[in-house]
Amino acid sequence: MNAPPTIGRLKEALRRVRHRGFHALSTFPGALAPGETISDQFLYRGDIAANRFVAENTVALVAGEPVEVTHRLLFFDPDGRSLGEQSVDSSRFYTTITIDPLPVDFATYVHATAYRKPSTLQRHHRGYSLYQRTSQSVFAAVHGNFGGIVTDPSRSPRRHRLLARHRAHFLYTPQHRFHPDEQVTLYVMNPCPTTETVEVLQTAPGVGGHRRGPALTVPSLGVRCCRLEGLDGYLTLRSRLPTCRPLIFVEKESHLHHFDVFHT
Amino acid sequence: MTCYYPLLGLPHGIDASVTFSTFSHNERTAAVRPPRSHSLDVALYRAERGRWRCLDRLPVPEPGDLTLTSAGLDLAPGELVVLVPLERDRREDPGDGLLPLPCSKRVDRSPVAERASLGFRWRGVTSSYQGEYPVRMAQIDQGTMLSFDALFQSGPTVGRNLLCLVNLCRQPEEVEHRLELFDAHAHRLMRTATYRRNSCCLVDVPPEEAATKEVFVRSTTSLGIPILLTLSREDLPPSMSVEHTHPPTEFFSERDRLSGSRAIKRTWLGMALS
Repeated sequence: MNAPPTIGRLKEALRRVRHRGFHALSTFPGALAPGETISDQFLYRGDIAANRFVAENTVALVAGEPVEVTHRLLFFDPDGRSLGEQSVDSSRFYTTITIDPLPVDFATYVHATAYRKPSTLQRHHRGYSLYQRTSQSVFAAVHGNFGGIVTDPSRSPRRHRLLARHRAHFLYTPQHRFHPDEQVTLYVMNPCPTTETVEVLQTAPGVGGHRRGPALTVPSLGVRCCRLEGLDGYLTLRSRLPTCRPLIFVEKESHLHHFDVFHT
Repeated sequence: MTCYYPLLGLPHGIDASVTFSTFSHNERTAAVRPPRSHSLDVALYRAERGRWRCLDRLPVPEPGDLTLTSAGLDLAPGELVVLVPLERDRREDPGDGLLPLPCSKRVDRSPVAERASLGFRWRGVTSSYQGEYPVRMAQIDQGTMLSFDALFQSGPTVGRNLLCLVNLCRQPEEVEHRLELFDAHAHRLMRTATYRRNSCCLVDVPPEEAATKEVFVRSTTSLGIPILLTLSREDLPPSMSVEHTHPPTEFFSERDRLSGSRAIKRTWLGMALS
């Protein structure tokens, strides 16, 4: 015989409290208000040929037919200050938005959607950010990574609810082997309401031990960048974020068109 | 969540690779130290004539990693070899005929799922992502798959889009599945592809097609992970993109994850196509 739902919910709540030290988001985030959505935090790069974003129209996907939507991209500078927004109206299931150039080297943004009739589904915007290195390149795609940023497009763009939380210290080791001929650029984004520090450690296979690299202090909704060369092995990121997952670009001086981007 | 790691045979001169390390990926610790390292082997399996065959078992140098390539194993397009991490002294064959369960590098409840680096090399450039094939998906022998065309590219620099659907199941019996590509607006079937269980289904989608249609992909009999590759034109400098698409569950927050993804699947999996 199944336990009544109330007991199930109580057990779930107790489990969340017991293991809250491992939760990347608020332990009890609360329900979204009608029209609110949760977005990942995406990266914009101002030093490449073009940036695009692939935005999903979830209500249309559920309905199986075109539904009018306004996609809004809300931008933040490296210190987390609002940089304005870009809106596109569409009824397509997916819309690829070419991002207008911003007056910064890099920035972050979130995706929000507005429908004539607010959806009751609690939607999560995890889209795809696309990076074109030169005008002769295809766009390199990477899907949304982490965020927990709640937006309501009917309200001021400056009012967001941030669900990401810091906890005790974590180590996060991307499972990617770096090589000495690579130029590695890390973009560390911070969706927490607090300023966070991320230390970069370098581990060489076969040797053991580690070498300390730079420490980045990232404001809320902001982003910091560091470039590393001559790596031979793995990077480990030490922070108070259970999910600290930089976006990484790998280029090579010996091969001008090498442009690998992935979220860790 | 423990995982397998697929090594794919691909066309058009693309060499796939898997790099698996001994390092734990995510752990909670106050110390400033390297990540924990594990003593592990990697066993390579391929499904042949309805049975799993172990091709090799290799120790992973500790602390360090192991890289395997599809060219090194001479994989033909569509072929799939599965990397199964195992504890150093563990027997790999449990005797039940199923693909052995992998071991885990997890040391605590840290949230990030286990991964390896899946790389794709073409004309001297490499694109990679942190990937895996979850055991819970491989445990299911009958399922459904729905994916959308968000990552098909068009435009003057694009040479080709390649959809690679990875289907992995612990059961080795040969079963044939069918993949449908359809125009989402016109509800018109564009083409179908058949593929075997424990293989990768490869479909080229020309950029002209991606420019004019919203192309969705479905299977009503199997699960799978779709990987989208985009290659530049052969007469341009090489560039490429590799990414896997979000499953429908990712469109919803925790509360509506199951109900929302079921609603999407109900809409598109049951849709009649002309």
